[in-house]
Amino acid sequence: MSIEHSTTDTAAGLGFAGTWFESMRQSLVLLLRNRLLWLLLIGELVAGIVAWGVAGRGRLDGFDLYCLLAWWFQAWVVLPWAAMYLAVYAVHSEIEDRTVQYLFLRPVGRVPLLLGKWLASSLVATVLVTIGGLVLYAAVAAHPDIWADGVDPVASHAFVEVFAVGALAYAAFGVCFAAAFRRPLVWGAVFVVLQMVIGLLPISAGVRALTVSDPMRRHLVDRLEPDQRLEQQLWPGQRLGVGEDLIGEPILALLALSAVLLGLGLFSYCRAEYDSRNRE
Amino acid sequence: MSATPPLLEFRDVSKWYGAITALNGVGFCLGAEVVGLVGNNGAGKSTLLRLGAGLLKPNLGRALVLGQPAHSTAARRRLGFCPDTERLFESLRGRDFVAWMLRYHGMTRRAARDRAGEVLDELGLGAAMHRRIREYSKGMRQRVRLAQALGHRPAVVLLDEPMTGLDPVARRELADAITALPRRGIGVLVSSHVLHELEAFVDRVVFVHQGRLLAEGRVAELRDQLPGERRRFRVKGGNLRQLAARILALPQVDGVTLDADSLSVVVGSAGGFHRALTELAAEWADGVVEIEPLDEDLNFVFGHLMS
Repeated sequence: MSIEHSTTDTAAGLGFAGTWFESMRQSLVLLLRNRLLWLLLIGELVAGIVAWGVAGRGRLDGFDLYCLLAWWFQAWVVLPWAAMYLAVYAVHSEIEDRTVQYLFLRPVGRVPLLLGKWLASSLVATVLVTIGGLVLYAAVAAHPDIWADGVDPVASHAFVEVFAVGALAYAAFGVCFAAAFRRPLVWGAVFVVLQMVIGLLPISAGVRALTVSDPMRRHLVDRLEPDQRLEQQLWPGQRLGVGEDLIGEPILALLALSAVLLGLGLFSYCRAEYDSRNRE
Repeated sequence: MSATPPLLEFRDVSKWYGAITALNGVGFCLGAEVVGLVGNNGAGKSTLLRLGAGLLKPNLGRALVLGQPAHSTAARRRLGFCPDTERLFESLRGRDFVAWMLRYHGMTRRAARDRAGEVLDELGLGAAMHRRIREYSKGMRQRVRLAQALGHRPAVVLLDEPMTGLDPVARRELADAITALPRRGIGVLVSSHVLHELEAFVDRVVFVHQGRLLAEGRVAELRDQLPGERRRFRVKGGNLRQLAARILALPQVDGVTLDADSLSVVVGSAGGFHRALTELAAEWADGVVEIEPLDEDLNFVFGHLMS
């Protein structure tokens, strides 16, 4: 065994953008090897089969049925759990088993490392939920007779947008919890359940602006322009025409929320020593 | 003109976790040499290594790599650390993991893969580097950990229990490889519980106990400095019974035990005993053939200091 060595300096490091990209690339590699991700994908396919069966009964209009399924199943249930789980997995698993120290030993900043993990988990969650949304769409569109105005792809486009921004925000929550807390999934579960409750409050409850689902739903309603009945079904807590300007522009609100959460997560990630003894 | 800073320097470093003091005012320097870090479990060895690697920040004092704070980017470029944690990125292949780490040192993807393959090959993992880490044995994992520490050609290498899990042949090879590093200007700080192995390849040792630096220096020097300690020698000669009688007559000798082919001698003053034995050997041909100290090893010094 002869280890070749020299004391000459190695290259200057990857830089901010390079580290961010490398962290994202490697996080994607690790996330795609997570078995739960593939189980979720199978679950999405099963949901598509169920949707196909429900659509076959013909009790609801195709557009309404797709919107309700995509919102209440994909955006309300699958997206928050999947995005937060993936973000927590990408960040916290390394902290828990202390493999994160191999990354912290490198001459790169922690900020791009964490941002790479956030972007990777957002991307995987978006793709997962988009596939699920498209499967649902295909399942309902397979019954063109139930679409009163003909099969319309505009709803699926709107949902993909909503899924993408929603995934960024939920992953930001996951990253923040993972960097700051010992049991981030518990915190994530508390948050999701809490926002489910808050989401059903009337619009005058300002705390709704702190949830992810509310701006998502507002953007969705803006894009879909549903009739009053469908809007009520999508947004039971909404009172039409009352205080709509309280929430603000939904995409900006989500991005601002994500930025604040990422800031908190980065603060914790950059500051912490993540030494086992310290965390105990 | 400013002097060249040491490769690694601990300046009165203290570190505590809440009410627990892990290190208390520890200070020493590392040049192009192999220094062994010795202490009981919980003595503060791993904390010291983590401070040197920049993974922890001292509450008091400074840890410097080539004059730069150990947690700085500049220091991390020049430092390699092999931690003692069992877990690695299990789903990755050995070479992919090391290449990934080297990418963060600024190597291109191709250069990182080539270098990762090269260093794993040098560590004897060439045939298995394409297998997933979860399939590796303990010794193979240890080699991967070493590879990520050495791959970017650091100036300072910190090794936390590097012999763990290695078979005897690999241990010897690793010891040889470590011994060769100072000749290339590289400083190595290595902790190990296997004292006799550590003794075989370190230039100096640093003893830490309950977070404090107990002693540092060469093993033989430390042994000589132990106050009021009787020493033991093995003496071989032609006529053991006669030799035992002659040695027992020496004033420095406290006791002699006759073994199968040698004598075990307990003396109060080693210096005087050496002189007396030299005179005895000069006047009595074939009387004294060989003399060997029995307690000049690291294990003895460690035991004495810890007690």
